[in-house]
Amino acid sequence: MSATETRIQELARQHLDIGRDLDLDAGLLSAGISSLDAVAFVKKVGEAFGVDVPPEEVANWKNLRDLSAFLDSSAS
Amino acid sequence: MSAAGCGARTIHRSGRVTVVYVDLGPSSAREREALTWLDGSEQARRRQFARSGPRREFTLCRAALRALLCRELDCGNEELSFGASDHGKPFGLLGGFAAPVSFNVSHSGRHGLIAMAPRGRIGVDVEDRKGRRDMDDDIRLLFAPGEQAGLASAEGSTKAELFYNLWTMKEALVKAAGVGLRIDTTSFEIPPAMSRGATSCLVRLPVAPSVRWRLENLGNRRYAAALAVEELGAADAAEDSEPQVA
Repeated sequence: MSATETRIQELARQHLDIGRDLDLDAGLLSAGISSLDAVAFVKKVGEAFGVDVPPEEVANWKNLRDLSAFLDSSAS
Repeated sequence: MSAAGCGARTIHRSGRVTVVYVDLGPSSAREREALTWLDGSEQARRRQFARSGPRREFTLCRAALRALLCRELDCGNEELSFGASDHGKPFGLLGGFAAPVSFNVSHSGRHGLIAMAPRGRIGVDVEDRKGRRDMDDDIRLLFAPGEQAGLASAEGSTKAELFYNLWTMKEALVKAAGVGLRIDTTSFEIPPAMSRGATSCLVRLPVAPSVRWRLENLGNRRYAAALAVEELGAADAAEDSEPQVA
């Protein structure tokens, strides 16, 4: 697991009530996270990484690895 | 299985739109029966849910939707399938062609809502009124400045109630417009009257300024819920009557 993915997992434990680690290969909604919680979570992850995450970008992601890849590419 | 057998009952009628509540509480018998309504692709999607709760919510809601569509379209379940717009909004297919019906689905916890109309774009959202870990952070991240000010002046359960009311109204609108959460929810504001207890209003969205949406608050003490309906013009207005809560 990359450092970015590890940090996303930490943030998920901090902000989401799912009682387990997120499956990074699953979409947030498949993990049983509501759209409300998903939108708020992605914004919090963006803030934690100092990256502005456009909503239209989020809609194209299939899973959290796409979020991780976006954060890595935004930082580089 | 009928729509009633899926735990579905009509809770609201407003003009051409009917809103049905689906009980998503645990019931192995209902879930087992609902599963028989799902086609292969839906069963595959169902298996992707890691947890039993979301799996059950999807299964019961989709079976209820199928039962309602079969009744509305007078067709067999095997004739129905679903497509999705470029932005992911689902629509019905009857024998492979677009079905003459609009619908939208939302579920949260034990609560499912299905809105249905013969035409026009509609959006519905429901949220279980669960406690939130970071409500003040969420308010800052999700709401427009005027909404944030309104929420800042509320306290305790009133604040939580308003939080969910505003969110469901926002999500119903963006779902109706077919853009989902591609719009930043801080970029538009729910009319303040809706925060002060109005149950319906007319709204325009920045992404489609020529369209007027009728927004209704359908929430109660157990859940927050909202319905957004595209205004279709004079002929439609004549058909539409005052909203009725069943």
